[in-house]
Amino acid sequence: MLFSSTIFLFLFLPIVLLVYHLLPRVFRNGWLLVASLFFYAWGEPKFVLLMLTSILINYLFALAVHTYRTRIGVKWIMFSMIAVNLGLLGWFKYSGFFVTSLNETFQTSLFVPEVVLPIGISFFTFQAMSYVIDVYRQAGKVQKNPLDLALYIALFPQLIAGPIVRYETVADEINHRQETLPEFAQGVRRFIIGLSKKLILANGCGQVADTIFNMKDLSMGLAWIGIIAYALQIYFDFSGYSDMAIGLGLMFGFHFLENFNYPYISKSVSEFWRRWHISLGSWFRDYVYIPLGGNRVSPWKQYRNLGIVWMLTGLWHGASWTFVAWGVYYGIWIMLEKAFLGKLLARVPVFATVWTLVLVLVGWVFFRAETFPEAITYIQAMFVPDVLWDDRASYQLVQNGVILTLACFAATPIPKRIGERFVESAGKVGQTVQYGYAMVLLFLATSALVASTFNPFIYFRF
Amino acid sequence: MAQPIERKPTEVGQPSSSFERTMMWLTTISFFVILMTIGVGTILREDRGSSQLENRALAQSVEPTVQGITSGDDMVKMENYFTDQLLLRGTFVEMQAGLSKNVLRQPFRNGIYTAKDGYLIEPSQAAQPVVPDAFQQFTQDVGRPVFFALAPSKTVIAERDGIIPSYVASNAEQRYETMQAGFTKAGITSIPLDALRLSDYFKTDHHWNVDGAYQAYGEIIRTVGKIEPTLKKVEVDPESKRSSEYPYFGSLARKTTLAYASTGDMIEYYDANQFKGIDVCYDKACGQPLIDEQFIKEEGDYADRYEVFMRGNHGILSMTSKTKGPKLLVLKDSFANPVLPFLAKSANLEVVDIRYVTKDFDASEFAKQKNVDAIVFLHNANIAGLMKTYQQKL
Repeated sequence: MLFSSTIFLFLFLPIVLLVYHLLPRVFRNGWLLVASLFFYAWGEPKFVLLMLTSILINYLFALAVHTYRTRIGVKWIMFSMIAVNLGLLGWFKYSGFFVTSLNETFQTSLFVPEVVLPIGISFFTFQAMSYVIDVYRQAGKVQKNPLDLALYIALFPQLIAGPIVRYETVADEINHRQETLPEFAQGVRRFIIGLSKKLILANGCGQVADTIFNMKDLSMGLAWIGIIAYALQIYFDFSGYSDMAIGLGLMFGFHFLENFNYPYISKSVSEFWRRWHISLGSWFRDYVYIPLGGNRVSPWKQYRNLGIVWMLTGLWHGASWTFVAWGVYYGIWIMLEKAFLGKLLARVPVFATVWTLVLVLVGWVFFRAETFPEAITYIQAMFVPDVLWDDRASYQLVQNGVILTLACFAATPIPKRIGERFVESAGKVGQTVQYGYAMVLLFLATSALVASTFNPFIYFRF
Repeated sequence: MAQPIERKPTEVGQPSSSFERTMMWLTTISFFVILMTIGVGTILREDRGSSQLENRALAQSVEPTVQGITSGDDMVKMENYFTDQLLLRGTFVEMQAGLSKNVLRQPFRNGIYTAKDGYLIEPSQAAQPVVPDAFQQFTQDVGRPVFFALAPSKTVIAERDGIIPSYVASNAEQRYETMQAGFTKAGITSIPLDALRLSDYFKTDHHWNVDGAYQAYGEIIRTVGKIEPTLKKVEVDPESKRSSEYPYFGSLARKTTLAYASTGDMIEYYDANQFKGIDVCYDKACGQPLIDEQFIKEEGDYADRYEVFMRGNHGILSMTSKTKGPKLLVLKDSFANPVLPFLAKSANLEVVDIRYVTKDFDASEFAKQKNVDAIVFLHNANIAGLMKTYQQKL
């Protein structure tokens, strides 16, 4: 089930919230778990068993780690845990990609397994691993009750699209949390903002991006409009989903960490990744980069570690060499910034912002393109075009100029700052406007959702 | 390695005033009430079979099966059903169109351009059409004069008039000319309809209005009459022209919704007494109404008032009277519907809508069997999609 679906918004969510808050506290976790499993089963009924298996395995691993913490064999338990989790992820997400790559490289004709990708597997696998690792590090307590662990991993607000909630973040809240009116109201506002980001801005920009990426012989103007639209789409899509998850978490008394912090105003690629998909960056930092030695090893090893982390980051996003290239691309820029570029950029902040934005946009081409030739052709159109501007670019600008401008503005912290200052300074008027704003957004987002299913049957054109 | 800044959502303190607390309650309750009202309202409301706005059948409730649930197919069907039946669905669709027009300033909606005078135009960039060999074969086989009245589509006229913005690619006129040349090459006599103007078409629909249809009637009589001298134009009384009480929002308005089609059209037609003596037969029944005003009086913004003419499309229809004119076979689509009442005053008609006849229908055999004097194809330029059907049935 998706947050941006009518059945979630008008049936699942109100029923789950209502029953949750009517139930005595002792039953709330149980209800939330049932609701979360139903949420997952709605779209992927058969994969519920896979998720439950993952939960059970990691529950047992954590118990074993907890019990045998002082024994030498605990490292083997950890090794097995990582192997099993990555094995599951590898089979479902990467087996086809791996065999295809082998066949292409060595001209073999090995059987390519056609494995359906279970939705959210990257997220719940990483969360499950985070749990066992945190228990091992004693950053979070072991769960004796498997249902509580199941709730942590399957909790529907963050189950299928993140943020990756680390166990230590919510370990205490699984059994000891308090739902309050201010946080619930804040959660409602946050959810509505996320829903609006997704349905109005992301989908609006997505139509532009999809149209342009499906065209051939792009002019320079069209290529730039397309990639800007895609950058806005992916930001509002993902950050909107994170907003909805954080908002829903607040409604149930959970406090998830922020996942985005206006990444497009970054002054370096390193800063971009401190502001983009924060939960993933911190996961790789704490569970891969630091265990590899982090910054406390020789410079050569630091660069090696960065290379490994960014290649894995790319691969995490999708089973394709274009994703790997995308990750490596960022790894290279971060290494250069670490070596010397960072210091240079710090001296010219305005240039640094534009520079970073251009690098990120180029990166999105690899992310969006399905093949390398497609990506290269697109980048050529951006920088060494045959035509600077054409009618198709004019059309996109006239038709979608306002929404692209609005989205660009909304991707900066300015609207939020203006809003917060207004609410603070305008007292009751500010609070009333804040309420009205949220409700108007809810109706607009709903109208965008319904309109996306609008399907007039105009037989004929005769 | 970049160091992500991990932070919790902005801390929410206790309300500083009773007013702030009230607003928090209001936010919470409004959220619940809005979602619950739409959700429960959708479930409790009686299911609708079809949507006037979308002109299609709506998804109906699903009886789940084990296989359907395990595959996830039933969930998809349930979502479609719930979304189709959603309370205030039409209102939300209109609201979104209003946002697109008034806030996002989008001149196009679902591919339709709104011209300054309220005309809704659908630019198109499609491949050049190919007239199949079947037309030439049909002309030779049928042994009777064959004519083609190919009306320019609204888009063709909009292109000629320069209404479509220069930055929008649209090749309707080019395709129209290709189509006409193809029919001429097939040995079919063209009935010229190039004199039609934009005002001969509805603003919100792709069809022509009764004035455009009457003009086409005159051209058909003039061209076919050269070979069939008994075919004479019969005037209608201008005073008998009627107009719909409610505005008419046609097929293009359904795609844009009312936000882009604020003015609508007035559908006009001639009083049924102008067509007395014409017997209309279809679906094995004669005496069918030629003009049915129930469609004019039907309530609803998107009522299909165009069905005032013979109640819409029928596979095979005959229109006979005591006219001394010839017997014509008209092969047509809905574009022909407002022309047929006029034409039936001048000739006996066998009318075939190729989209609604049986698979084994053979137009050539039908023409011979009905012993018609001539054949008239009556379409507008957007018939590329029909060519395959004609290939099979001519």
